[in-house]
Amino acid sequence: MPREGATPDDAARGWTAEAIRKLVDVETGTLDPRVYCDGALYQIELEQVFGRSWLFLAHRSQIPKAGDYFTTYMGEDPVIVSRQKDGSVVAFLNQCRHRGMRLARLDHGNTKFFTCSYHGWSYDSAGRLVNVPMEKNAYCSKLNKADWGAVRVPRVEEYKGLIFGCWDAEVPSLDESLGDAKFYMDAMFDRSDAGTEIWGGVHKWVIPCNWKFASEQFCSDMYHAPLSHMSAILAVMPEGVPPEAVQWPMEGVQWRSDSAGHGTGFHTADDQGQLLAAIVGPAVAEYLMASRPRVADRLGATRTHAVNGAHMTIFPTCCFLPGINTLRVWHPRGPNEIEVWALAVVDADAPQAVKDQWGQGITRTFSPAGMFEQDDGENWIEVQRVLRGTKSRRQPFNLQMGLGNEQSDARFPGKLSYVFSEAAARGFYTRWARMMAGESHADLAAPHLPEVR
Amino acid sequence: MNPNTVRACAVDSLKDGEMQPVAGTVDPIGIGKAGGEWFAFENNCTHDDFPLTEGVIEDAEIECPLHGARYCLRTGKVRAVPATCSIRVYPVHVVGGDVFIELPT
Repeated sequence: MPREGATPDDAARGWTAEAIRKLVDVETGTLDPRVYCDGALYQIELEQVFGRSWLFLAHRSQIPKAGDYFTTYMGEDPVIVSRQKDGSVVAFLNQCRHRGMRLARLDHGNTKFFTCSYHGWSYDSAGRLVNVPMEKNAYCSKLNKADWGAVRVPRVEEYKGLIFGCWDAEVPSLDESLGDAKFYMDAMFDRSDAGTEIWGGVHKWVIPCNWKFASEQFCSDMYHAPLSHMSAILAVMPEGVPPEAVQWPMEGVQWRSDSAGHGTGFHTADDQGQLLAAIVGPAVAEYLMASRPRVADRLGATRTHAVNGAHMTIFPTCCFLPGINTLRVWHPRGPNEIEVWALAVVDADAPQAVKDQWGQGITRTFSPAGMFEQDDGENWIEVQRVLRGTKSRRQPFNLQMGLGNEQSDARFPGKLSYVFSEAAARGFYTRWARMMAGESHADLAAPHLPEVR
Repeated sequence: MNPNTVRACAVDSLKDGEMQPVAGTVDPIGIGKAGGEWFAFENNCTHDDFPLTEGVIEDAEIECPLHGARYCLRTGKVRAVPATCSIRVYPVHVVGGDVFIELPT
């Protein structure tokens, strides 16, 4: 055990790359649950995973005008995401270079300057230090302000309205990092030239569980839905529907990224929007059904009719449900806690009444008080509590569903499995282990080893 | 009109709530419009030397964007700390399509 008062670097010393790789065993399909609760692993995660991955920062519609800014986190690091006069987006650490105070204290706003509330150092919207109080008298004009700008996030790139940042200047482009994921993301984010926008603000709440429970579920887990969510589904169904109306579909596909840890799954049987009508509202389902011909012209029939009830994760923490249209990030707060930041995504060119019902439907089902959200949070929190035990954290978790059963489907690109599978979870944890072991971006680009060797 | 008068800008160059520095003066001067009224003022916050035209003009008052110092644009007097010294303000004349500032002789 690390000694009392040990620094994060000290705490990480107990874990070798080899020991970390053994936590995820895709040959036997087992996962060591210490990945969820070990404090030393968490410190390595902040550096190796959150310090080197593309992380979702904001939706472009949240900062449309010059001077608009949005404050968020990259892992535990607070950052300001800021729209420049030339339309570009800059992100920088939300920390004054003088004594480390948080620069922007608001969730979002519009400003030309960020002035630290401690001693008054001021930075412009690109994070350049522009003014220091008493510069002549106290610093004798010897302070080189150009050296003391806010710390820039070196890479900021956008895909279909989603702005991502990465602390590692050497990371491959966002486009390359997403790869085949783009095909599946487009079903939610590229339904028209107008794209999407955020409805309302950001729901933020804290729950005591590890971030990977949430990310893994959005990546790979359709399996929980017919059981965990059945009571909520019954509640949103019109009164008097017979039990066979809630028969969960069995056809479907899961996709996992070759190497990047992303994953999605969905049902391929077309229910004509019935489940969406129940979950987010009939006007939204009608709108989506009516828009199918124009969306099919753009994206093709497969993604218009054969992607239903989808879940998706862009590794590590950007998660969404195409159709329902909740979008969220799980900001880690130690191994045992996350801040959930949830947004409602709507088509930018949908009628206002549809946008409103969509936003309200998302809020009713997936938000701090959302009916479906409770089902998920309860499971993640309870697993985390169970893992406080010394015996419980020594029992390997079973990750064997669909092991060795990858399949192909000419309609969809990439590595595919049956919709009820843990192939995407194994891909997610393998990516995690490879990053945690310190593989370079060049090495990480190589596909995961085959599961059955 | 005072012989020491300079042209600040065209009448249609600023909308209400907008400001800009005046070109070609020895001391920095700003010109701005608020509530349909034109104001010319010393374009430097006396708290910590920063152009006030970067700030906000509203209701005959100007606020520095850095630390929130405010001045009355009719008198130049300080309305809010951390500034403690007033700024100079100048008479403005609109003649035809142009805005002129009267400087001290």
